[in-house]
Amino acid sequence: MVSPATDTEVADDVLAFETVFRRTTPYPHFISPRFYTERFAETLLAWLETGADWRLKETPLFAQYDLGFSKFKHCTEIQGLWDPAVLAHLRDEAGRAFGVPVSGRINISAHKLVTGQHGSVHTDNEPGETHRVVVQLNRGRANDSGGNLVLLSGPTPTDMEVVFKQASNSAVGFGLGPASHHAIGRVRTGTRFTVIYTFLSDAATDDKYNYFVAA
Amino acid sequence: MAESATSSSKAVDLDALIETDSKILEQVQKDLSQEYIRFMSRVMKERLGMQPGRSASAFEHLGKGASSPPDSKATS
Repeated sequence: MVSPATDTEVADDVLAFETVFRRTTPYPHFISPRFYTERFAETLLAWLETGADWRLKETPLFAQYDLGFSKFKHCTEIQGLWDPAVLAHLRDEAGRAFGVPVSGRINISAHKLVTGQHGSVHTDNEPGETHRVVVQLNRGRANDSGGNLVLLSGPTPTDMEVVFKQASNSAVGFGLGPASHHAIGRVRTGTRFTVIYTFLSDAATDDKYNYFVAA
Repeated sequence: MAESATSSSKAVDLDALIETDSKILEQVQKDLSQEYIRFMSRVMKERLGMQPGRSASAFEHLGKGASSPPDSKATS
C-alpha cells in the first residue's frame, strides 16, 4: 500500500505546474511556463525522440504523427506520466486553473509534427471531452520554425488571436466546445513534440476512449 | 513596489510564452490561410463530385477531425 506521503513525492517528481497565467481572449485559457520537473521533461522528451512508435495520420484537416500512451504501459521509464497520484495532482491543479472541477478520467496522447505537417482550424468539440492541456517539449525551437499552437475567435485564419511560442515544458490549457477554435501552424523546420491531456466527461464511453484514472 | 515587481516579472514570463513579433504572426496567419484554402478547395471538389440527390455533408468524406471543420456550421 502506498502512503499519501509517497504519493506526493511521486507527483512532485513528475509535475511542476506551479505558475499559471489565466487569460480570457479569445476564450478562457491558461498558460503555465513549467509543467513537468526538468528531470521528467528530459526523460519524456528523450522517449518521444527515440522510444516511441508513431502512427502517421493525414486528413485534409491535419497531418501529424500521433500515439496514445495507453499502449505503452510497459515503458517503465515514463510510467510517472500515468501514475494515479500524478494524475490526481494534475486533476486538482488543472481544475483550479480552469476554475471548474475536471474529471479524473484522462486520455494522454502525444503528437509529433515534422516539416510540412500542420493542423487546420478546428474545435475538437466532442461530447466526451471537456478540457485539454497541451504540453510542448523540445530542445529549442526558433520563433520562425513553425508549428505554433494558435487560438482563434472564429473558424477562419483571419480570426487568429493568440500564437504561442514553443517554449519547452510550457503548457496551454483550454476548455473544449463549439467556440474552442485552434490550429497548429505548418512546421517549417525541425520536429514539434507535444503531450496532450484530454479530460473526459461522463459521455466518454470505454469503447471509444482509452484513458487513465487519477487516484 | 512588490506588486510592480510581480507585474513586471509576469510580463517578462508572458513575453517568453506568447508570440508578439509581427513578422512571425504574419507568417503563421499566411500558413493557416494556405491550409484553409486547400481544405475549402477539397470540400468544393467533393461537393461537385457528389451524385445528384445526395444530401449528406461533404465533410463525411474527409476523415477524423472533420466532425469539427472550420466551417461546420456553414455547411451543415
